[in-house]
Amino acid sequence: MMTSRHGPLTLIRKLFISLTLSLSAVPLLAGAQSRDTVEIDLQTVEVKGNLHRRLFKTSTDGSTSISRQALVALPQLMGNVDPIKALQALPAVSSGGDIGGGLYVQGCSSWQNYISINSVRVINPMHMLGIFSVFNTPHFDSFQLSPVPYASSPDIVGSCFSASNNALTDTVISLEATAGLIDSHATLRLPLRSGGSSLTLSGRATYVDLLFGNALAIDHSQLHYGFQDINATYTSIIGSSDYTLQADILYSHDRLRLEEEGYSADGRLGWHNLAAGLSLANPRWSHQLSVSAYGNRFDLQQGGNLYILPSSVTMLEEATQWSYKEFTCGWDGTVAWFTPQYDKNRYSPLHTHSFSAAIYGAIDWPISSWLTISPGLRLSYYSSGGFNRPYPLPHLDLSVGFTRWLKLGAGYCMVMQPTHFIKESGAGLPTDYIVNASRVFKPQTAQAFHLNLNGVLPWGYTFTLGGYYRSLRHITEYDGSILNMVNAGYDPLSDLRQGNGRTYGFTAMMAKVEGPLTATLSYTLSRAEGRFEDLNDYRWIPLSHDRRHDLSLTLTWHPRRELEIGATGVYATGFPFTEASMGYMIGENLIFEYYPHNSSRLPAYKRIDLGAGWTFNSRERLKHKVNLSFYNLLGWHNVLFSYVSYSPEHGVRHRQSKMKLIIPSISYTISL
Amino acid sequence: MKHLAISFCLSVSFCLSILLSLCLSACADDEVERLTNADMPLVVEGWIEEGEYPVVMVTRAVNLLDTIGDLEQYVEKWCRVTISDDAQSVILTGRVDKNYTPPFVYTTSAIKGQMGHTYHLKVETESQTVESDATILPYTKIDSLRVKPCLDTDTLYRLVAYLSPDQEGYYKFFSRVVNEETRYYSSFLGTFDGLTYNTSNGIDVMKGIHDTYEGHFTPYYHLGDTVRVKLCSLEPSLYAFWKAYEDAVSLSGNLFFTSTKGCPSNIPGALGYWAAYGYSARTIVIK
Repeated sequence: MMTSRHGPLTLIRKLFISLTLSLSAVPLLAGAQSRDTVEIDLQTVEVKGNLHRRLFKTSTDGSTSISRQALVALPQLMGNVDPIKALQALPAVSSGGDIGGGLYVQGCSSWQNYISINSVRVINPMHMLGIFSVFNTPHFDSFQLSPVPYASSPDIVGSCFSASNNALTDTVISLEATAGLIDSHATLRLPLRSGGSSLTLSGRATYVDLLFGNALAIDHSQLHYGFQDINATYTSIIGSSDYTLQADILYSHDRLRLEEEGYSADGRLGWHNLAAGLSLANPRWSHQLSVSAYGNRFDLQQGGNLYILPSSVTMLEEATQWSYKEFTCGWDGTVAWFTPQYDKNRYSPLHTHSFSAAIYGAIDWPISSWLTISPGLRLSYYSSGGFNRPYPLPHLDLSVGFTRWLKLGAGYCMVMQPTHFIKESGAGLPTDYIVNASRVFKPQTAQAFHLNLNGVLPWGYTFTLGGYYRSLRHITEYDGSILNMVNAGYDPLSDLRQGNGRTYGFTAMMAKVEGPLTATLSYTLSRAEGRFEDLNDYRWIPLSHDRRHDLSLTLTWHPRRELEIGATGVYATGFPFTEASMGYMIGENLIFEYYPHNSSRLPAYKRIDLGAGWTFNSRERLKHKVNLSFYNLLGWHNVLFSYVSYSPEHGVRHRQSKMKLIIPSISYTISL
Repeated sequence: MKHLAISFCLSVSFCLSILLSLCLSACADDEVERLTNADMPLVVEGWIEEGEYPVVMVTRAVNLLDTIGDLEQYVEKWCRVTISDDAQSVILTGRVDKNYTPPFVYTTSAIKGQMGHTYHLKVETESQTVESDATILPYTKIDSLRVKPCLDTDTLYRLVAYLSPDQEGYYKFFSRVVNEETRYYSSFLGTFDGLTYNTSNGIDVMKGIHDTYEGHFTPYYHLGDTVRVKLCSLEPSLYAFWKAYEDAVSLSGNLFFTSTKGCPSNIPGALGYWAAYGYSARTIVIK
């Protein structure tokens, strides 16, 4: 648990208040002493402090928060600053690449995370191809990432990410609207009852088809793509009590259409995401009810054949938490319904469902002024299709404050996740879906250890050093082909391989947090590997998101009030891939044999982004801001995919699909 | 100042100990050992059909690290290729045949395929001998072929075959556009089992996909095409090969859906296949 500290700003406020009170007391004293006018010359006191402009705030348990104000100073991609992309600058959070992005924390995959908005689960937080997340940044006040779950967190083996709104209600109307080249978004904050309740509404939509429809083509295929997301958060303070009622809803929708005239093919892909929740809380307890749903659509019409392959998952969750002083306890329960991918034209869907529940307790126990121990226990129970099992999950955190400037955190936990992810594509397409754990594919479990050292150095610098180790069991890897869908009795679960994994790494971060120029430099040295039955003779292989080295630099500069300049730089080891070892002719097609699974590496990934924003009327209520950003400023060629092709004219060629564009974005924001 | 010094020393020692332990493991060499030219296996593509002479092509696999020129340099022109059944054993003769790529085949007119017979293939090179068996299974008749227009286009046509397959059988289509092609090619997505076949919808017979195709490939036919379709009965091991082959041909080079599995050969010690086909054939003009 993080202990709040008195920062420089708080100190300045205290001094100012003290001084004001002192000054206001003088005339009273003077009046009490004599009715005659007394002139007193006061000495001028100037109080100075350094403003900390931290992009990330990290605590000893490794959890990190980032505010909306800090995010907007970063370079934009197509008019958006994405919080998940921003978190990739943290150590132990892998740089995701240009497509297929997501949140890869401490070597875990993106589907091993718990993602939420105000504690309401979002099942799939990414839009198609993983370029953007579903989070409309201006809607939320802050974003938090915890690399390991707490005892109170839902059952997950990876990290916990949440986008949060302040519990306080807005008292003035505010609007922020941004128009960009590819999409536009807006956030409206409405006070509904003076100091009592407020409503925040956000929406975002792309029009890339409208403006650049003819440019969206791959080989002979024409693409049409669009997405929308809407958010609403209602917050109300009930009467004059401490009770806060909050309601949230998020809906996102992606659609992709692909037309290939030569194949007489028309493919329609898409997914939708719904997260809705209602919570009631006071400083001691909270109660929440939520529903989350995610559905895929994959329709392919070719010639005269039609393939419709839908899949979906819906979760209904309830959570109650109570805290008293250092002690926290509670319970939560989830009922989930799954429909794995099936051929709608030929077969009936296979519906499955699961139930899980847990009770937990945790305590922050200050042993001394410099040592705090936080033990916790979560007792989870999972049931599905006759498979029933309890999971006792201990948690333990230590926080040691060596000095005011140096703190050590260490922790251990056991965690569980009752779902598996079938990844048929390599780029976040709607052929990927979730299934529930079962007797055959047991729930994933993990044991996680971490060690972090946080320190403050002179001249406005902070540093974090750390290490982690995670042991994973019952993880899965999909080893089939999308073309199997044409087979009789198509069952993608028959191509799911079960195995174990381990991830470990060393992390370091240094930040300059004072002054007009701030910077964050982070480095991770890590390994994420697994071994699976019937794959590579059960030998250890790198997991698909493994990056040996990951270096990130983020700079923000505020030379003047109206101007903010941001830059990010990334250098990371390329992702593993399965490389062709030899080729041979069969039926006048060149086909290949391959080296072991994931045994080769793509070239290193590198990118520099630069953005600048100028705010007009910065001191007025109505502000205008223009932002110009360049994604991949130097046009470095980042390899997405490596393959071999053959033609009689050119022979055998090694080829690579590359992201080599410099993507400029210009956006205009009006805020009231 | 004293506190800062302590902090600094603790930080450095903490950092070094973790870094050292992880470097020892993280720096382990996980690069795979690259294959050399000497590791390149023999590739055999051979078949014998009922009532037809055998055709066998023998090449070497290509090391992708090499600078690769003409694929003809990988053809094995001096093999001893023998086919035998219960009655006879025949050595095949190598000759140039420009109907195939690469244009060199081993064949003979001394033996023809007969249903129910098992044919033993033996390929001998200077350094290696590989052998395999294949049996000609009873064929399944193509009841009819129908031409249907493709949706959303008036220039392309589908060919749909109606048949009565054995539910436990395995089948493969080969097609040839007679006015354009000099040989049969593996029909795109044309491998199926009897359970997959839908009696009312039939099954599409698409054009053969091959790297030597000129222009942008379409699996459908144009008006005026004369198409000869062959339906072959497969043994289970050959069904597995052709299924993996279709994945490889369709998905290699695809950014979004990858296929990184090889094709399971039914020739121990070599890549490729040895097949014996019972087949039925029909010809139709697209009009």
